Amino acid sequence: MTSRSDPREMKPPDYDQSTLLLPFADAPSIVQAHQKDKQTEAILSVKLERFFRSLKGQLFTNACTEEISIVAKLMYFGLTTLAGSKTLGEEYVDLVYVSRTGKELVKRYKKLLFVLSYALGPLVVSRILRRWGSGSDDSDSKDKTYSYRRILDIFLNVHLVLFYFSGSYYDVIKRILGMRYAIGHKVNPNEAKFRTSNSNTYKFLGHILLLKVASEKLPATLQYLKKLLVSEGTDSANDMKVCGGNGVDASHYYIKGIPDESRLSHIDLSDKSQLPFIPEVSRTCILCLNLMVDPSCTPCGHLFCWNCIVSWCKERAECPLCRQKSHPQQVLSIR
Amino acid sequence: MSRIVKEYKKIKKVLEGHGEAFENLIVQLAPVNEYDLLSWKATIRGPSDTPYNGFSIGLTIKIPSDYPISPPMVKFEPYKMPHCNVNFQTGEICLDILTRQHWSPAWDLLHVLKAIEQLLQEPVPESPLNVDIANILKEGDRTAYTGLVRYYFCGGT
Ligand SMILES: [Zn+2]
Ligand SMILES: [Zn+2]
Repeated sequence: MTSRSDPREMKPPDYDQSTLLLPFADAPSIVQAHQKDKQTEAILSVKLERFFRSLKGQLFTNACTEEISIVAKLMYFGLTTLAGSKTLGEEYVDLVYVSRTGKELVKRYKKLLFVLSYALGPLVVSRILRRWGSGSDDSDSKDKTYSYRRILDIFLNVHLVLFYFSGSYYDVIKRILGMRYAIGHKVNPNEAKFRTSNSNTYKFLGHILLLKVASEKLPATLQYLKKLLVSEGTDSANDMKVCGGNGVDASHYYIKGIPDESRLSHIDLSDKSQLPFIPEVSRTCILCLNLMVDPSCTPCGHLFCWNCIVSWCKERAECPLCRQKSHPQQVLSIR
Repeated sequence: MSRIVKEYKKIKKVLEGHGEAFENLIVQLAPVNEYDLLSWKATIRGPSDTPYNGFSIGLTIKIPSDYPISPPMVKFEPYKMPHCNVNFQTGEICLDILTRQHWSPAWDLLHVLKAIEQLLQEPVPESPLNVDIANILKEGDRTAYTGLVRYYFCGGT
């Protein structure tokens, strides 16, 4: 924790690719260092909590756990990384920071940026997402927040896959800032072999994770993007939404295996050639007050849109007009 | 949401076009804010041959997000309403069609106001929210009923 980086390393001897300042660290040691640091951070956080509890009481501590953990992070990395020494984890497996190319040491301002964004980043991101989420009750903005979360999630997963394959950056912020780990000593051939075999295990993990991400996220994401493209074209006014409501469509959307709404053929009574035997006065749905889409009838013979009547019959199994029994499964679509 | 937009258009048409059955009842029925159709205010005329005759009565209507699956929430506001089926303090109305069990999505806000008019014409003292007025009605004391309603409407003077 206190050992400063060796002055010998300060001057890069050569800019040739083969003669790096120090060999890049392998994925297993980076993970090990990271875990050790997390552990230490947690211990520090608990100590701080105890300190605040004795000082300010339980209520204050409970209300401020997030802030206390930020203080713990700032303290830990401020006193180690920022002060120019190693963290306990880095000390444990002997790692030092080098630049993206591995030819220089990492500048001080980057370390400062790292410490600040590491401590405050999660809070800021979660606040922003929450604000977007609660900004309005509008289901559109909820949708949007959901999609940002989704994109963030995919981004983090891709980042992790990259780490497992290349063993370069375990922390997103370090990837952005270009703070790579190198091994802090000369590596003899035996050790190098051992490290390579360890890294290969991680590559295997990377393959598995990649498969998992691809199979889980890709179909939903593609579908989502498609929906965005489609809806941008058509949905200009809020008047556009067909009966059944926005919420119903959106929730259908994320369930896998349900065919895309736009691909189903709808019977829209605003088209006069559709079901011409239904007289003009009967073509409006009393529930949504629009011309019916997918006209459907209850056992008593009253007509409504499919979406309108099914969502009502799920709430109460009776006809809205005459109150006769009508279970959702008894509603018949007219074709 | 789409349904309440449609309803708003229909209501505007009905209130502008004269001669409808609502002319004697509705003074005003509109959203508080054009951009938020989930919050409405209404003013109705006290029906003739009731103690409410000659008074304007205010109502607020909240449209739930799953309207018309769920019924609108209607209250007498901002003025206190002396009626045996209305909570005098909160303005809450005891009216079966406004409950989840009896509401039908085939009804709209105009139906709701009609039903409220009917409640003013035919109070139901058997299920009271205002026991004092219910008792007067049960005793059949019409004069006391009228007197009490007028007393409250004229601000207690
Ligand atoms: Zn409909
Ligand atoms: Zn029916």
